[in-house]
Amino acid sequence: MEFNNNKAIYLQIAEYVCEQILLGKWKTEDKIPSVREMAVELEVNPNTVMRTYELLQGKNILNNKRGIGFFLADNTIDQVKQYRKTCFIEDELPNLFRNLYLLEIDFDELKSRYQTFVSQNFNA
Amino acid sequence: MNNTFNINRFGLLLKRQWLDFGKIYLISFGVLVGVLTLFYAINLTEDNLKYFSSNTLNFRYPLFLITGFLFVSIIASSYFIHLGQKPKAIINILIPASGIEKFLSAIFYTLIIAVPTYLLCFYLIDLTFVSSIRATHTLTSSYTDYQGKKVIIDNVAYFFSTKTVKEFYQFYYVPFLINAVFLLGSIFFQNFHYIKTAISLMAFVTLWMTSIIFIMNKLTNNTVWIGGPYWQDDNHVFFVMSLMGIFLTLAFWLISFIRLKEKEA
Amino acid sequence: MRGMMGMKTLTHIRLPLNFFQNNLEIIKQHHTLVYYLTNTVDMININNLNFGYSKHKPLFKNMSMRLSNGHIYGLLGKNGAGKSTLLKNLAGLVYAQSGTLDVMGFNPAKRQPALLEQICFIPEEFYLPSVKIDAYLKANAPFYKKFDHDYFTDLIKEFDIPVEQKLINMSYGQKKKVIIAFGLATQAKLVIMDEPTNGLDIPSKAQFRKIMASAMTDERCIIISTHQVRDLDNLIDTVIMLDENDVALKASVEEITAKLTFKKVKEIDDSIIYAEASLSGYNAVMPNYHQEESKLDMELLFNAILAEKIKFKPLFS
Repeated sequence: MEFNNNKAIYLQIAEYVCEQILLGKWKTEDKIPSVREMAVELEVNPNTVMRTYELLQGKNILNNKRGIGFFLADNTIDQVKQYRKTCFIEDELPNLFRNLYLLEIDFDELKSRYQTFVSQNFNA
Repeated sequence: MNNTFNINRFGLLLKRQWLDFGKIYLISFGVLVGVLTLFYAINLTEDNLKYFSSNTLNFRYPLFLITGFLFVSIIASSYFIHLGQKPKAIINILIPASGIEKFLSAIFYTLIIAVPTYLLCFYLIDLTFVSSIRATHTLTSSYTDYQGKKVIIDNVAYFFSTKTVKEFYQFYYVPFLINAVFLLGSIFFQNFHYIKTAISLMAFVTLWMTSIIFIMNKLTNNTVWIGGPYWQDDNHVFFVMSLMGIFLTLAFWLISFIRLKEKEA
Repeated sequence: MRGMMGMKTLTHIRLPLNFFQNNLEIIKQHHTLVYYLTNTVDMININNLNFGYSKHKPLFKNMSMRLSNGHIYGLLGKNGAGKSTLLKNLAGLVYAQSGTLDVMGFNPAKRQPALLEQICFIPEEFYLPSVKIDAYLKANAPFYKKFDHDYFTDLIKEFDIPVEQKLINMSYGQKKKVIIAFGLATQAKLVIMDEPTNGLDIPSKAQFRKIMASAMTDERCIIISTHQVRDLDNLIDTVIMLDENDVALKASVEEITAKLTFKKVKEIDDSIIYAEASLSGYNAVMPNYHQEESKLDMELLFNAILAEKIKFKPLFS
């Protein structure tokens, strides 16, 4: 996995985990990779992965069953969306707004572009 | 866990050290066999054998002493050769064995193995050459001494059964002392251990002898010996020398052990 | 009813707890090492260490530091700051002039086998005899009671090392991988590595990171000195920086990023402690006023501390 320089590693790992969940690669009731497995795969310190898992546990995305390992929480997809939404609003939206303002793009243009994008990429 | 001495660990260490030291040891041993054979061959040419006398075999005394000194000193000074090179020293210091085990392993290879191998090697080469001479030559000659007694001498005696060698017992401490001096040298000096140790040894011996001669001269000049005959007996003098030799050997070993423990890398 | 339940639970818990504590006492008395392994206490305790290769040029002046298990420490410093020397002090390879050094309850200077078998030391320059891996293993592994042969085989496979080749004919990188594999297979609790990624090619560096990520356990204390920070920055959880005869900084990545922000800025203002020009503005270090979660840029931090030591002092004390 390639990390970028903008964000703490443990948050980037959290995003990676969320991605796995949203893409359906990790399924509910399955045990997810252990801290060590994840650390080896991503070539990072296990303490960092632990920090990620604890964060996601706090967001009710993961469950820690003592002595067995980490599992996805029951309504994990909703929680992930909730979490990602917060992240997006906090991290990326201000940037977007800044550009919209600087480049004087109005909401109508934005709306039509958004709809084209959705129909092209997601066939909605 | 015993952090001072453990026989199993010591055994493991001996096995492990052979991996490092074995090659040096075997090469030195090969050279030794070659040199001894060569000297016997040179001195026992057909010509020399044709005019064989009891003196023909006298070359063996200096040969025994010189090669003995070289073999024991070279082996002793190469055991700790790695301590002069940091990368090797680090590995050796970090082997989980105690200081005393590491030191005893040095003694084991450079003394307990080296000295008997030397003696055995000399014995076997001597046996080979001398027994072939014994097969073809008159073995004994005799003369009448001043008391009119007939004395029979063995002209072709095996080295270790000559009369001279039997008197060597006064100097049995010497290989131990050489071992101790060169072990210390190899730990003490960072590089060129052998040459530095040899030079130090020569300097020390020269200094010591000249100062003793000087002091004894000063003390005994224009004086007459009025004590008993005790110190005029060589054996008594040799005995005191042995004691000093043993003392020096133990002292050098002790210093080597301490230096080894404190060696940094 | 409630009281009954409470009592029941209490006695139920008490028995095994007592049992454990009693046993721990016995273990403590007989085996300092086990004591250190069953508790998360400082594995290494350096107290007022003074060291110098010559009397007039001290390298460490009254250095004190504690290191504990469950961490990968990254030891940084300029050339000659004493990274290797500190590591050598920990392994008992060199002797301090004064001060105390405690490693798992032992004084490393005594070089006792019980401690030596718990130390895996990977020096920058090393020597391997001219034998094959098998022979090397046979001679050296028995000194380590917990040596894990299967793990060693796995590591050798992972590192792609030719087993039939003599060690002395291997490339520097291959040799290094052999001693790393051997060192980790000893199951030593203290792992010390001096510039371990030096001489490793790009795929080997990735393998190395994977191996270290899996080697980091709760009982282990791993200390890695490096000047190639980028190779290891995601592995290190605590940074130790040496400068001017002492520890200039010792803080976990978490602590550093809680106190400092690392980010790209367009212009320099007063809040910035240190900045380096880059393609699109500046890479800057500044106090973390807004609880931002930035990624620690170790190289930038390193240069920042060398340049602005005084400004960082109050932040990490």
